[in-house]
Amino acid sequence: MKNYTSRLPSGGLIDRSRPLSFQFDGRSMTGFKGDSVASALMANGVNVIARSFKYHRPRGFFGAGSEEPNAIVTIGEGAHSEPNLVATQIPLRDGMIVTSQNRWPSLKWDVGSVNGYVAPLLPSGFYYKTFMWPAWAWKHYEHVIRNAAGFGAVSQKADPDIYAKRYCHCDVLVVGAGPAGLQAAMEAAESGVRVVLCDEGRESGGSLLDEATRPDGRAGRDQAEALTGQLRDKTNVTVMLSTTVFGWYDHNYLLAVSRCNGGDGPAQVLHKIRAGKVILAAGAMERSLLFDGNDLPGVMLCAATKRYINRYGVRPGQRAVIYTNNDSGYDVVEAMVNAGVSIAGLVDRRDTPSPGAQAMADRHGVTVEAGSYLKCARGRSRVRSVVVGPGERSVSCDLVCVSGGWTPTAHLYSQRGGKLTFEMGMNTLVPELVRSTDFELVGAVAGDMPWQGEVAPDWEAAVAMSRRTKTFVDLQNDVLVADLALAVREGYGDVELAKRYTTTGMGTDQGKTSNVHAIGLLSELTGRAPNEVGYTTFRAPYTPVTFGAVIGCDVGENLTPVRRTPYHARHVESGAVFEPSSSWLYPKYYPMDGESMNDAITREVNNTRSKVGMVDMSSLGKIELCGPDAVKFLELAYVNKFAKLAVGRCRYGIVLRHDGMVLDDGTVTRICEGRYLITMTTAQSWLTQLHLERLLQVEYPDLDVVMLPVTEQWASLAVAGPKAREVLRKLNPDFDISNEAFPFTHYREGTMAGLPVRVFRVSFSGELSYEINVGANHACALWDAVVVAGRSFGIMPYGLEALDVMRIEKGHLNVGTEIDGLTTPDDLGLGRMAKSDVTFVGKSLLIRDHLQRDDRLRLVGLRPKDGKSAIPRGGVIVDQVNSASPDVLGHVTATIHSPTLGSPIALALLSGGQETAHTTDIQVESPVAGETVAVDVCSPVFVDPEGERLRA
Amino acid sequence: MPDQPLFQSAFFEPGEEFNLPVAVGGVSVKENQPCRMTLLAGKAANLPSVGQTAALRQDCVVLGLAPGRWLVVYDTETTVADEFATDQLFASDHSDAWAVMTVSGAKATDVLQALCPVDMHPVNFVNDTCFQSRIGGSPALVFKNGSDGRYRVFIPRSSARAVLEDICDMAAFL
Repeated sequence: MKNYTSRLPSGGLIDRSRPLSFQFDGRSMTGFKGDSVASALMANGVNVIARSFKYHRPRGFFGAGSEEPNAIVTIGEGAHSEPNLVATQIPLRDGMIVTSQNRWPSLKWDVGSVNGYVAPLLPSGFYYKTFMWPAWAWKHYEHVIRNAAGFGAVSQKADPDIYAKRYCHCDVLVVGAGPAGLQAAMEAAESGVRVVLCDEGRESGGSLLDEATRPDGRAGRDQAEALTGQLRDKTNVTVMLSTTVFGWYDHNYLLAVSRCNGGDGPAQVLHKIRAGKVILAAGAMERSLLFDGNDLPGVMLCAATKRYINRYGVRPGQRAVIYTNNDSGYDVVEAMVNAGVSIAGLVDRRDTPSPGAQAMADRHGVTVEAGSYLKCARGRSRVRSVVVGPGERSVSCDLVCVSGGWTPTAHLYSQRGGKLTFEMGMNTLVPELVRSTDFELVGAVAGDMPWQGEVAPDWEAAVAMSRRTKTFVDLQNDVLVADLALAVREGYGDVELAKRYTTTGMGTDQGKTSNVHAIGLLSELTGRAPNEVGYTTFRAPYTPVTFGAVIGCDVGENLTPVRRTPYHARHVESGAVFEPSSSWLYPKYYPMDGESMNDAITREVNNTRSKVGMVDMSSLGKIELCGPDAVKFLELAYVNKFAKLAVGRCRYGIVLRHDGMVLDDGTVTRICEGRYLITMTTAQSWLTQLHLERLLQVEYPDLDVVMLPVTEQWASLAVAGPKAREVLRKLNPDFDISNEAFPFTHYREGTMAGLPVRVFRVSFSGELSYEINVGANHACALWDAVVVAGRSFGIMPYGLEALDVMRIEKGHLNVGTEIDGLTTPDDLGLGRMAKSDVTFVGKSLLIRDHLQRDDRLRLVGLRPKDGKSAIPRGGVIVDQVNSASPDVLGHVTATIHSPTLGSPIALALLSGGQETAHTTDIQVESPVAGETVAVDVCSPVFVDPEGERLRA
Repeated sequence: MPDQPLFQSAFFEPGEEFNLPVAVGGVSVKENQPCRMTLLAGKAANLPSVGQTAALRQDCVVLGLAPGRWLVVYDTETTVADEFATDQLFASDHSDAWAVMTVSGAKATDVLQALCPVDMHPVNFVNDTCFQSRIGGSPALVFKNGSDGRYRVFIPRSSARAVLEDICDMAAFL
């Protein structure tokens, strides 16, 4: 294999004393510290880096930065692999594994390249026209098409890398550390404000790094290092390199992602930046020129050629033709000559190059063919020659350096709503500059690109030559000039439609080198001015961002901050198995001696029903409501009546949303005159608190009421079971807990185990129960005392599962199952609680006809007809009489095997409730489990329907 | 039965190897004890506005949390009396509701800033002021008392451990 490219014996900004080993498609190679993956591959003679998206044509290195459309690779292997990375942007690291994409079985011999031979049959829109029939088969076609065309594959293994997020604030954010950005950062820093300077490169300097020497004789890198050093010395400046700002949103909120250098820390960090002012110094990107075969390996942007030579010490070819329509094409001549690249010719579309450009060519003895153009490039896996027009003069070469002018990198500006306009003199989109104190555009991104001089467009000629040529507009998406012409012929001439029809401007590069060409060509094809054609929306991200970076560390057990109850230490000591409940870490059950979960839950339920159990209820939301209008507010917020609730009494209450549906339930306790304590369910407490705050602040601001959240203040431990009273009596014999002195739904304050406590006689389990609230800092002291006091009565802790079993046996409600956002108090059998004489939140919509219908889903209990079959979880209730087309009558909300009853039971929401269902033979079906069980409908209260146990 | 109620830290479990105080990557974290707090809500003309604080005594400071809401912080073991309560201002003991730590050190500002969406630069977050926001995804109240690089951070008790781990992780990273 001929090596067209090679490492230069000297030069570049690489550290030749630090060789790095890496692999590309299984081949071992060597590069140097300071190399990009692309430069290292090029130095090792790699010519073809990828196969194109659609036609699987061989593609080489085209650019040298984020504009690169071709060199898309996978870095790493196994779980650490990351696909679709741009090889020109990834710093080479020792041991790196690089794999090419979109080819099979190999990059050299790719079966998909057959597409290239039938390319005329595969124009834009081919798939959607051809694979329309039969409609059901598209999913099969799509599978094949997706495999044949596309990018890399994401590893199916869990990502072992760590990602992080950071907040960042600054007075001035400078995006881009090229010459303009460095200067802007320096000026801002000297004014004393906080400056953050970001650049996607691992070194600051931007285009300075591509200059062997500046006009002043200094090396570009030295100049960049000097400026950066001065900035770093300032305490008010933060320089963030390898950091790409990829999104710019309202109020100068920007997102950036940093790639870190490996090690034990995060692989990538997402920065959430708030900037007082943004200075965009993102520079500009060079465009290609349009000619047949302009995608062949060996066709490369002039600026990229210069960078490979001057920054990386790599010779990208041996014999070159330069093709340009502006002065910047001449700018690469000196670097090529110094690198020993033979320049076979310089073809300039313009009739007259600028004097400066001509002088550059003359100085190096390069013949300029002004008023000429490239008709085509020839070759298979590398360009071998070009044909220069007018005429048919063939010039042999292995490198074609192209410059079609420059495009300001205005993606971010456009994202934040900045307008772009097509500047005919420069033949490109430039930002419409507006004065603002919030942002400023400096340098090339503002359209300040004097180095390119006059730019001659080539779109008219490209359209004329588009038939039967492979003139590519968008290299990454394999979009030809002919595709755009077809789009216009078929009525998709609007720029947004043409983008979708042809896919130009899509993909990982988002049309960085192709968008302006697409606009120019559409202008030619439709006869409209480029500004009338418009441009497609620039959307974030500017460059691809991994899901890992976006998610950060918010995965697995870190998805939300874990909340621990004050009894957590005791749960751990008791061997609890934990589960998340909302954001709380909650004991699920406490297995003993190798018990299974079911055995443990059964034991915990039986122990509580027969003796005494203790359960942590600390996660219930708690708010103290104070003020002279507290009772008025309660009457408005709850469906229940509270006007006559005496001091020391508790009452079960229901809160509705404005649409009449149940939002939450809980208890309201009148602690003392003018002070109430309300409790909310764990799951809904935050929503309910917001709801109540909104009522107070927005809808009833005249009420003299304040809310004091006390959820975190109080640790709550419920002691439940027939022996609960004896346990409490041992905790404090002087605390009168006789049924007469302390009946059900009453509240007392006092001390237990020497600790000040609030005790509520309420019950979720259906047993005699006392909920003891103690200051959270003393929770474990109370737990220990209860364990000691209850030992002789057989006390055991029980977890969330046992609690759930007992509440189902008792027919109590649960948020998410019975309180599912679609049920009213009537549906849940609580309609009689609703006040009929006064209004409350939700009442006006609660009484609408739809919510009064007899066939609404209402809470019922279910028992299997055979007394033993488990009722399937999540099953639907159907009428078994009409089995051919069963009517769905409702669904199961909770199902258990009741340890107390010794049989399966379930709660369900059933159309019409108990009244109508009794007349129907029904069954529960679970298509998922493949089970069907005939059931009887019954009361949802299975245990102690008269409430004798909890009132004992 | 215990004669004296035993204080129970929200940051770590008894006997756990991980404990406070801790120093990680230029940041020191210590738990503030004793520290007792009272939440006030209602109307008061003489209490600090939102974000402002007022030292009432050497061992007592009032933090303006939100319109009509304040937190009184006592650096004593003394039982908090409802000394502020009036017929228009209501008090509730919050001594157990918050876990309080002092975060200090050369990197303290950087670490907290990385975890918190509020601008903590000394120009914008001056001494003897406070704000309510989030740290590492958990609600938090941050009080800058005394000097730059020294913060008193109040975390709802249930989230204290999660926030402490976030601070330590970020300190190690930075």
